[in-house]
Amino acid sequence: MKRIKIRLDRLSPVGINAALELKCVGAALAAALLWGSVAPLHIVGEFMDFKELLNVGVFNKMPGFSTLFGSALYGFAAVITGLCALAVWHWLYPRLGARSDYTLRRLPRWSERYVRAFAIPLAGTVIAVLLAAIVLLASRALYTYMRGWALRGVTLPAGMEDMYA
Amino acid sequence: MLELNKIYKSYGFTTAIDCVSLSVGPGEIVGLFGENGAGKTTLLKCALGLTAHEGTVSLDGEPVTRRNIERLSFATCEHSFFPGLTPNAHRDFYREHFPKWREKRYAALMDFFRLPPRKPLRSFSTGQKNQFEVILALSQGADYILMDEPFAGNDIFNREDFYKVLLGILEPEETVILSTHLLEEVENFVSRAVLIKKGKIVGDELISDLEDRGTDLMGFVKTAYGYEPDRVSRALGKLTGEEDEK
Repeated sequence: MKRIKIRLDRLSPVGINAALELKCVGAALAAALLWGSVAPLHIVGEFMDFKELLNVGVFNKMPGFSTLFGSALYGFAAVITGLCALAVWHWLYPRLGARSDYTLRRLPRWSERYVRAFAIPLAGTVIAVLLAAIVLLASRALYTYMRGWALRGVTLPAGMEDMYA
Repeated sequence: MLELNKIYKSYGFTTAIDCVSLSVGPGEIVGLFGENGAGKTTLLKCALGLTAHEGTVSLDGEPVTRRNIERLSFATCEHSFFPGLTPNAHRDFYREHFPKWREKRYAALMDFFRLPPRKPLRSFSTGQKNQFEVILALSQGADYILMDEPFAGNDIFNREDFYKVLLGILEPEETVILSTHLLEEVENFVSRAVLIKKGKIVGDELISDLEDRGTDLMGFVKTAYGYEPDRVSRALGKLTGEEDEK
């Protein structure tokens, strides 16, 4: 267990608790994912209403994907911005209160300084981008499916086909 | 042999080090002396590759790289330790990164300075921080120990005792380059004096040669720096004269 802790602590600047930082980044990613998952729910809700309107013969323009997807990626954008700030702080941290960067720059293992500064922010950013892509693709797939579902069995008035293409 | 060859460093339009060449052999204890802003700290940082510069630095003919950087250690009054870590955590960190870590020497010096091993460095006094900085540099297992004003802020008893201990623990092949203003205190400690003025070496003498010539370190420094002994009396005379005129 101690060995794992030592290995884990190599991921953050010397003196900063890597486990705690990882937990914070994980929580931020989870919150961003939660925020992002509102978009699919929004899409489903909108299409349910839309289907009802179609059933009663009200042919409104179908909402576009970007309108329904809305601000779903804002959470990930905020997390990535925060991780960039974290990387800058990690890089400058050894210069706060002392010049421990002198020690880091004299280590035989050259990568130590870079790993400690950028490992967590970089990994967090990669995960955030992947999650954002998953949310985007899933929402797009859901949108396409829901549009097909809403229009199934509906006879559109002449000249309105283009509106639902 | 640590060799600095034609080191040049400037900050903007100000030349900090002007084509300095210096060779330091194993076992030497070199005092690097000079006024504030003379370039002592910059020269040490150039030797360690901590600042970009022109010229070359080599260790036994090999350029200083990651492969041999562990042979150099550095104690600086700017403090290169990690403020959030305890001495024990530093020991673990250094032991992991520097295979020649000197555990016995570390323990003995910690004991000598009576430093608390389980308190974060940030809670130490300035004097204790300096002491720990020096302990790390001496315990790293380096062949060349570079110290930049290591005892700025320490009391005289601590400094004197430390030099005595240092002379006792250093092994014959260990080299020390010590930058300081405290000439009188290190006179009996250093074996060679290098004087630096405005980024240039203006004097380089063995202490034994100075003794043979019947002079001392202070006399050598004053001569090399062109010190004017009557400067104070002239200034006082001028000031007193001005007072009289009024």
